[in-house]
Amino acid sequence: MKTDDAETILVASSDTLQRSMIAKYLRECGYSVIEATGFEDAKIAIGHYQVDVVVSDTEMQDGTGFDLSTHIRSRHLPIEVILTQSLVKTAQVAGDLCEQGPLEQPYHPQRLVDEIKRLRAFR
Amino acid sequence: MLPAFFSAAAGAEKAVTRVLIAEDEFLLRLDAAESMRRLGWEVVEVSSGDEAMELLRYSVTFDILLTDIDMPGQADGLDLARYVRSTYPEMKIVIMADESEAALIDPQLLELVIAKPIWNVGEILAKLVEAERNED
Repeated sequence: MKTDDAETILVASSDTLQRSMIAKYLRECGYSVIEATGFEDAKIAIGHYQVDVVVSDTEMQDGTGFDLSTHIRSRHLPIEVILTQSLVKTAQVAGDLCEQGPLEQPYHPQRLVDEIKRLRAFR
Repeated sequence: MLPAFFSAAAGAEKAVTRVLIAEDEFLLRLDAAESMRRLGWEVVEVSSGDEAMELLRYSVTFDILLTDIDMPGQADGLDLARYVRSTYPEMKIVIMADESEAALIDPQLLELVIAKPIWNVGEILAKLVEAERNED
């Protein structure tokens, strides 16, 4: 169901390419998106902004998604935390959020996976 | 349609101004990125020079590099600016620095230095882009 409320999603990942594309995709679905490059950034974001959903990698350069989840739970914050371990899973999560988001899905999330893989092949 | 800043790497037509911002202070980076997104620009955020260089090596290109001068990791803002100047000479380089740092920067390395702390980056860069367009 589409709503007028633009929820805020925090995308926490130390993988720049993946984080940027997932965040861009979610913005195109109408969400307000904050990007955190790691655990410490994510903690600051949660302390300064009202975040509704966190999509976090399980492993980041300065901590884990489990640490972040524990941090959120210990503060009794009403934030849904979704931990992901792979590009494909993260894209699926973004696709599911997009389905529920304020705007129509701009393209299938599998295209995100394909584009990220294509760019990684450039190196 | 894929995000413009990545599609452009595959040769798609450039639609909007694309900015890469490298800044390790999260709240400064977020504020700057949001101020530029409000202009309709595509913004990619990284927290170090190393991350920025890694991204650029994927052949993802930008119109503007906005970088802090002092960042953790192997490559600081000046290293990043030198890399961009030599590899992507068409990219505009804007460095955020305090006054003492700014005095030490080779002016050939950049288009603009803006003094930190700064909270209206989007507005300043919009003027830079507008001035460039007027010169063309």
